[in-house]
Amino acid sequence: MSAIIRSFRNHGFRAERIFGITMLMSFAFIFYFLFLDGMSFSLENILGRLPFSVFFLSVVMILIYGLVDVVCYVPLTISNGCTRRNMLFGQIFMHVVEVGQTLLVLAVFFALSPVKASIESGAFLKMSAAAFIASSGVSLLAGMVVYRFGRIAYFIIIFLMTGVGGAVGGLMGAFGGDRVAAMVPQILQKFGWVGLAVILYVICVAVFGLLSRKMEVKG
Amino acid sequence: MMQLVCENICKEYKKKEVLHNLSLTIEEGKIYGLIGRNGAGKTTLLSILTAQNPASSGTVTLDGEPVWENAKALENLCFSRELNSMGVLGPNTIKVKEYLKMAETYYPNWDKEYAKQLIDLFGLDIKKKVSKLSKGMMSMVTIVIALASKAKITILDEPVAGLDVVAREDFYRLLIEEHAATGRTFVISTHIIEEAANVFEEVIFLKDGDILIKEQTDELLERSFHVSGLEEDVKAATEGLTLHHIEHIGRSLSATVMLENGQELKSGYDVTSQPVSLQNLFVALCE
Repeated sequence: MSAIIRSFRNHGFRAERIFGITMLMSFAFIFYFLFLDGMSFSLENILGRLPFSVFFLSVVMILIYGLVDVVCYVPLTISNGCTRRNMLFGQIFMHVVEVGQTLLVLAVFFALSPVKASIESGAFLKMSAAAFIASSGVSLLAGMVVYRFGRIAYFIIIFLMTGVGGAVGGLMGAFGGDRVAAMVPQILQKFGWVGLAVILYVICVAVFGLLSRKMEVKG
Repeated sequence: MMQLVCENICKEYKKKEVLHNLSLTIEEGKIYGLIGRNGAGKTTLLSILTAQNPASSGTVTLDGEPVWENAKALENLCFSRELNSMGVLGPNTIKVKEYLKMAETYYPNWDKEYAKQLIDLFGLDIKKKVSKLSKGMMSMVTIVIALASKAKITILDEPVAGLDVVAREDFYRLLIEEHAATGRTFVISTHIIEEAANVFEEVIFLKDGDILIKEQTDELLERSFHVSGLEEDVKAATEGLTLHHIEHIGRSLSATVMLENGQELKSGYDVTSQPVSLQNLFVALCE
């Protein structure tokens, strides 16, 4: 087995693991919020919430897990004799597998969803692809920041997230939560976000590749 | 014959040079001991030899081919580094089982059966996270990876740290058996010198980022002596030789000397000359 195939095998396993965890969490969140809302656990209710639940959780999990992957597994991969080039290709492969199979599952869930969505399926999938690709790219850089700066990075990331959360919270307070939630897909439909996300991803991969060449594997 | 060669390796961390123009050849089929004080640069050197960290300058080659970013060369190298429990988020937060699974994926000659035997021998709980293991158990993980990798050149960084004496004996026995059976090259960095001295065919003393000595262990010990007696006698007997680790007790003087080619202690003086152990020689040279 060649070195690159070994890298793909290792990264592919992790892609499958995060996909599985995300799906389990999506269902768990649906049941939890159905319970909170006092609604029945009917198939219609579950399928109605599934696409958006998977979408939001996937964006978050791709980001968080990608960050954890860089911090935990990239140094371990290099320690086990993988070249940085093969490690980078492995990371890209992992993202392609994650995003690809999540989009596939989303397409199926969206088709099965009985709820009249505010967005048509093609646009929803484009929006999802853009979000997942962007999240994958950002996770690489976020992971590098955490690996390089350690605990200071947690404060940077918490600061950024509270800033973004505060901005979204402010908008929701001003315009109403339902209106803001409906605005997001409308905004995302208007622009070629997939193309921008791909460009962002390529930039993140390039920066990550450059940084990883000088990365020091710590004891 | 496979050779791992580093030439003129320099490494700087924040403007401080930790390795100074270091050149070294690791030959196939030997067991090397890499000995140095804390902060001498042992782990840094080993990381650079196995392309895990970049050198500031210099080259590392395996049979003439650069090791850096060379997947083919790296298949023949294994660096099993010392593990620690530090870090909220890091490689040590994963389970031993997964740690070993990753090693199995990346080392093309990984011996799964042998790894299982070693896990059983050491009584390793592979369901535990690496960070939750005791220091000794972490060393056992290091040893399992190093031995089961079946890499032609295997480097172990402090493999016996935290191991009890029985486990240490097991490790040396396994090392010698594996070396005899396969002819693999081992480079072992350790602070427990006396126990390992019988295992090392060649020793490398590293001091402040430079190689002080690289020599066959038995030849080195044959030309090293601890000389003691009255000060005037010792000085006369060792005239022209460099004295290390000089100790005065009243009118007596003791010191460690190393004879170079053609040198010998001058006769006719009332001095006691005794062989010196590898550990005492290292202390004498590196204090």
